[in-house]
Amino acid sequence: MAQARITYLSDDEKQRIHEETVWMLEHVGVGFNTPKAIEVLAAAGAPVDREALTAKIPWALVEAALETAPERILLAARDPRHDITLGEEYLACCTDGTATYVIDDETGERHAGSAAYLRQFMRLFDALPQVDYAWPSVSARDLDPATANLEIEILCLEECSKHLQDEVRAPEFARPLVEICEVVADASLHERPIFSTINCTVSPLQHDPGMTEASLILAEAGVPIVVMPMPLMGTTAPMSAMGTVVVNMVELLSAVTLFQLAVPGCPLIAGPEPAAADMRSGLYLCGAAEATLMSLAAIEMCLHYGLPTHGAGPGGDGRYPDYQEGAEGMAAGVALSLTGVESILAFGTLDGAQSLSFAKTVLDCDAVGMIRRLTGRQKVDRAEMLHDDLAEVGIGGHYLSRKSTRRRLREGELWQPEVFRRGTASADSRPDGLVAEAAAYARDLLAAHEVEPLRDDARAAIADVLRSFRARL
Amino acid sequence: MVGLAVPRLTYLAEDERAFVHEQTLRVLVDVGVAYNCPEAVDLLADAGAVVDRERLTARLDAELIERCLASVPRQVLLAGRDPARDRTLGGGRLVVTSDGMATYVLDDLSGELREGTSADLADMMRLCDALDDVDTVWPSPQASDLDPKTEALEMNAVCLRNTTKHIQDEVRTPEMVAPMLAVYEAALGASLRERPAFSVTNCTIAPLQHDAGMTLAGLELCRRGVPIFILPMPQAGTTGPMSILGTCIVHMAELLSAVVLFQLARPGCALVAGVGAAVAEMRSGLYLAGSPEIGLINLICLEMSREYGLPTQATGVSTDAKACNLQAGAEGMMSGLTAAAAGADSLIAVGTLDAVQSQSFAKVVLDCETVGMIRRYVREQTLDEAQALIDDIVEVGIGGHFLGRRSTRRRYRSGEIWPATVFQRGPFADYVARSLVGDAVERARELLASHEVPPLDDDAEREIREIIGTVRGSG
Repeated sequence: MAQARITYLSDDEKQRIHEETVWMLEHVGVGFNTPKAIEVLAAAGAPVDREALTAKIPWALVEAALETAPERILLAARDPRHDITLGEEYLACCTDGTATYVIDDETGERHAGSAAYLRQFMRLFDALPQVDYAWPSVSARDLDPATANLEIEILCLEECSKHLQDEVRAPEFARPLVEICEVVADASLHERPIFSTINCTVSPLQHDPGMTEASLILAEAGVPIVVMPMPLMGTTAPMSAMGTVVVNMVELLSAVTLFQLAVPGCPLIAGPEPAAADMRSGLYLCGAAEATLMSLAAIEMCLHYGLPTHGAGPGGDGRYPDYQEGAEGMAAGVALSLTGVESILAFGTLDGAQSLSFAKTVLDCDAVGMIRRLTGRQKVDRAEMLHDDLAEVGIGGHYLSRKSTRRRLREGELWQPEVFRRGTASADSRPDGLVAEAAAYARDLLAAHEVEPLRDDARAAIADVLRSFRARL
Repeated sequence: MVGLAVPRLTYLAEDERAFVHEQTLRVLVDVGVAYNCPEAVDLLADAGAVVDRERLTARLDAELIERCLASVPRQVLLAGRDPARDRTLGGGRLVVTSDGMATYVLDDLSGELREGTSADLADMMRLCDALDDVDTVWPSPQASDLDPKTEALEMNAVCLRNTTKHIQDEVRTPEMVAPMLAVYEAALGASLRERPAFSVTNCTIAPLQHDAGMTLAGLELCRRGVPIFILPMPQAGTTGPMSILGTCIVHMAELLSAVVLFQLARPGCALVAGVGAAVAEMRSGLYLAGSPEIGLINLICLEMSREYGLPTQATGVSTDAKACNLQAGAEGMMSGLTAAAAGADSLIAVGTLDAVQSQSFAKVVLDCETVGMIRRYVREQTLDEAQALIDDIVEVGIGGHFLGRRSTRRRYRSGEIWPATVFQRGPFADYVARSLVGDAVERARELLASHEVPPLDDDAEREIREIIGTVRGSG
């Protein structure tokens, strides 16, 4: 079977990055910023500084952690038909997060994210078959920050029956969230992990204490953790693509070591997200070629270590769902998918992941469709090449009337878009025509799509959890 | 750390390439190819091929194909009117040509389409001349205001006046060869054998045929030193089977049959293996330029052509989108990036929409951004300790930032981060309700207002006018 694959680093180059990473882990170390993590590392024999809350990590500890990290990871869903397993040669696609704003596709105005917007987006994600699992893609800025982390997850569980992935920013949210998810799953999260969490490190070479403590609790409860370093070349990482990759790998492996020491065998996903800074504004550039090249190298290192891995995808730095977004998003999406990565982040974000768009969510589904067609496996034999048809049609003539033409068209030999335009020349050449059509497509889906509601007993139990959480504040 | 990292895309395994090769040979031996002109069939007969002089077909065996492949040069000089703009295809640097030959011109802001004219062609060539990411040009759009009898000559004269870069075009009949070469030699003041400032595309006709007029022209052109880009264009579902693999085998059979013909006509002539195979839109029968299957076709045909040692040109940055929108960006990047990462020596890219039916000034500018990104992707990346700035990482240590490091300023200025020209970066407030297409249109206008192309000298102009006048007045 033929399958397109991209390679970036040679074995020798991977070895060089590995050696630099090991040296950094052992000699410079990492700031964990919480005594809970430091005690885990100290107990395993790592040299720690309890005052600075840093640790140097011997390679033997990392190696042992890599041994216990599982290769296949179940991401269960509220609706079991949407379960997916990373590590089964299927390119899973997750929504990207977390944007602050929503772009009005008609006026170009940018509005603050809200619970109402999030509710609509989650329902749209539920309706779109290209979306495998969902990260709440826009922040709900109208919610009380004291309870928002829980309210957002409840809202998402109500509006989307697919696996849910999100950040948990403080340890106090962790246990109530596990309770809520277990009520919805009607099972322990060890058995049915319908929620996974993202653990972002803080470059250079640090961990966020609140998020790390939350992740330690969640790992204990069976929640898969996506370790997501985000060093920015030029600001929080050196002005060097390869140097930024080394920073990324040091942070990533330090998190892998911590969580495997704390809960051996806990499911971890490597989510390297190195990017570049726009040096005029300091803003995050996720669509720059350098961001993808660094991700390529980092993903190759993660796959080299045998970690289930996800990469960035069709999201760029364009301000609207336009040519730039298409080009930058496709470059990242296709290049990273071609590494053989288990999943990519896609769908809807733009403007350096600051904004979210209904139209772009729909348009990205076509981009993802293209990527899946390009990265799929292809037989190479006489039946696949339609040898007999080729011999019979011979010189001149055509294949329109061959039975194989109709059969294979129906079987999907030619990928068919939902919104991307094909056909006659003058269909609609207005620059904003495609966005308007995609926005209408999203509106139609939202009007028609219904999500199976949560069970009554689950709703009541969730309300209890939320009530007692509020009471403790 | 010592090394040079560069992304490389592969598709077929060694045994799969052997299978495609074997099946391509079987098509050429068992089915054969129609050359549709006696001159071509005579050349093949003289070389020992089994021919059918009535049907004007020939069957080609492995020995003949291998012999002809061996004489194809690995590098091809594409000279410019200005020698500073010479490009060597196969020389390691990705060569990017503007796409041709669109029928319509799109008003990017209103969305209106109209037929192209010679004035549009002049502007388009001047715009391509001004943009560094365009290495060579293919005349586009078609100039509907010209006399069909002299249109090809006049369009090339327009191109010569408006760009000093290499020009690639089609010559569709043998009668046009002599005047076309005379136009170029007048402009260059040299023979094309010496300064190949002009190359031609030779399109085969799928399945498994050659166009008689274009082939006769190609035979004469290759003898006169003009490089030939062979461009088979079978479409899966219509002129190729509904199989990407099968369509690629038809493509490779047509390609090799043309290689054999031109190498027999003039051993050692400059040839480039183009990839023009595509898929059909099965509702309308139209050609699709941006579907993901184009990416797969590029991969298979590039891998096979490289295996044969041929310089290559892939379809890239092409799209079926009707305007410069997200679809255009996504489709173009997919075909362009995958072809470049698969090792294509050149890309037919830049400027067209709607499956090459319409031409857009904004898209020329935007496609140059895509090409710039692609060049950054395939640029070799040095991997050593100094490049990785390990000392800086150690000194900054845990926490802190790299903004104050000298290396940050130095390496930013030396291009570690590719600088966008039109693509939008920076705060959203700078771009509120500002359209990227509007910015691209504005950039094209500015370039057209300011860019000057060195004119042809008066003698050359007079000679070109006379050549065109003679053809116009001929029977």
